[in-house]
Amino acid sequence: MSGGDVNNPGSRGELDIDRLVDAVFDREVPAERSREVFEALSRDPEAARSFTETGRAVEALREPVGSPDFVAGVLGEVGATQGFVTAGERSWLAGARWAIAAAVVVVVGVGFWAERAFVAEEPVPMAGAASADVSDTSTEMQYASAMPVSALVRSTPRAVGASVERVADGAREVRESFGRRVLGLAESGAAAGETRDLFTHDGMAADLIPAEASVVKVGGPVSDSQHFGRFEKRAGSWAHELASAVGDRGRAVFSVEAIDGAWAGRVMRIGAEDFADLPWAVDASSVTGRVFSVMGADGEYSVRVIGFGRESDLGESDNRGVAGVVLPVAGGVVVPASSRDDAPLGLSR
Amino acid sequence: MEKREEVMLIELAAAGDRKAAARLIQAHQQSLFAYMLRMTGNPDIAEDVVQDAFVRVLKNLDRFDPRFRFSTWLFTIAKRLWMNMAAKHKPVYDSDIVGGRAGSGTEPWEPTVADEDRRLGSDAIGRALMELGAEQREIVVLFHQQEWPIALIAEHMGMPEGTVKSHLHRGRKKMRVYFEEHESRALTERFAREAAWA
Repeated sequence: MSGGDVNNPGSRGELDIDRLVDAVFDREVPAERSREVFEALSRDPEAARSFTETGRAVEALREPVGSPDFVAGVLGEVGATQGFVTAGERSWLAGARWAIAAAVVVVVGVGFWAERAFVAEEPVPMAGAASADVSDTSTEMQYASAMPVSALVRSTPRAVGASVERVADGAREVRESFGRRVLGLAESGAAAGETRDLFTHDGMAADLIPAEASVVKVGGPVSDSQHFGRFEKRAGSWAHELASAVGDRGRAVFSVEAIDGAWAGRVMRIGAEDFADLPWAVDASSVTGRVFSVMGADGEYSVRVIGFGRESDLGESDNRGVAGVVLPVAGGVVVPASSRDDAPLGLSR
Repeated sequence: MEKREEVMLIELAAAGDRKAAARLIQAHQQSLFAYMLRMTGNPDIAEDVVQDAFVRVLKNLDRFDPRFRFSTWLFTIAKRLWMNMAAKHKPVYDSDIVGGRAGSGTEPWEPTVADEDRRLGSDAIGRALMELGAEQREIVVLFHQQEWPIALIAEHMGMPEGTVKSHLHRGRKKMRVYFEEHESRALTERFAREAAWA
C-alpha cells in the first residue's frame, strides 16, 4: 500500500484504500470528501466489506452500556472510612507536619553543630538513631508528596557523626562509601516496612510489598515545588521519567541517591535531568522504584522518600504498574544543604 | 458537563459537599464503567474497580490539579487499580476453582464453554476486544467508545501520537476480524440450539 495524504489522493495518483478507511474511522476525512470515499470503496468490494464490518464493530463498541449507580455505595464507603477530608483540614495537617519537620531539622542541625564542635570523631552506635516501623509508614506515608517524613528521625544526637560502619551488612557498598559529613544514618532495615496505598497525582501504587534495606541521602535547599518521578520498563530496560510536577515547577537543587540492600550493589538512579545542580551522577541499574519528594521553602531541608518495589508485569508494553514500598527518611542519611560529600560507591560525581 | 461547572463541583466536594460529590459520580459513572467493562471484560470486576476509583478520587479531591482533565485523572486511577488487581489475581489452578466454573447444565457432559458462550454470546464486541492486547484494547476503547482525541490518548498512555495511531489501526483491524468471528459463532450456536429444540 502506498502512503500519501488521504485528503489529497491525487497527489500520489492512486488512492490507498486501507489508509482511506483508517482515515475515515480516525475522523480525519472531512464531510465534503465522503462521497469520494464511498466511490472509491464501491470500486473495491473487499475494501467495502471491510469498511462495513469495521463500522459495525465500532458501532457495537459505542452502544451504551448499562451502568450501576455508584453514588450511594461510594459515598457510603467514603463516609464509613474517613469521610471527606476538607482542604482546610488537610492544609492544617500539612502545616502541623511541616512544623514538626522544621523542629526536627533544627534539632538535627544543632546536634550536628555540637558534634562537629565538641565530639570526637569516634563511630557512634547507630541503634536508635532513626527508626520507623510499619505503623509509622502506614500512617505517615499515605501522601508522600506532602509528608515531612523527617519527623520520623529520632534520637538525633546519637546519629550525629555516626559512622557508616554501622550500616548493616546488607548495604556494604554504602558503608564503604559515604563520607564523614553524614548526619544520620539508620541501620539497615530500620526503614523496612510495608506501607499502605500510595496516592500520587497521576496514579497510585497499591498493594505495597516489604523491602528490606535502603540508604537514602537527603538534603539541600529546594524550591517550592513537588516532583514525582517514576521508573518505567520500556523495551526491556528501565528508564526514569518525571511523571508530574506540581506547583511552580521549580527545580530541586539537591538530589537523592539510594542503594537498595535487598538488591545489593544495584544503584537506584534518579535522573539528573530532573534536578538542577545534581551533586552526583549515578550509574543506572535495573532497580524499580518510585521517587517522592517533600519540599519546603528555599533554605530548608527537605526530605525525599524512595520506594522500592516490583513491577506489575501485565504483558506487552503496558508494564508501568509498580507496587512499591516507601521507605521514610528514617532509613536514610541526612546531610546539610551545602554538602558535597564524596558520592557513595557506585556513584560518581 | 462544562469544565467550569466541574471545577466548581470538585471544589465543593473537596470541601465536604456530598451533593457535589454525588453529581461528580453521576457525571462520570456511565463512561467510566463502560470503559472498565471493555477493559476488564467482566462486569463484576469493572464494578469493583469503578467503585474503588471513585472512593479514592473523592478522598483526594483536594489534590486534584484543575489544569488537568478530571476524567483523565479518574480513568488513570481506575486503570491503575485494575492493573494492580490483575497483577494480584494471577491465574490460579485449583480444583475448587475448576469446580466453581463447571457447566450449569443438568448433565455432566454439558460443556462449561457453552455456558460462557451463552453468557457472552450477545456481546461479540466485548469478546473481540478481549482478544486484543491491553494496550491496543485501551486505545480502541478510548478512541471509539469514549471519543477521546488522539492527543489526549497519547498523553494518557505516555506514548507518541504516531504510536497511538498505529495501535489504533492495528487494534481496529483485529477487532473487526474477531468481531466477525464471535458474531458468526454466536449465530451458529444459536441456530444449533434452535435446531436441537425443533
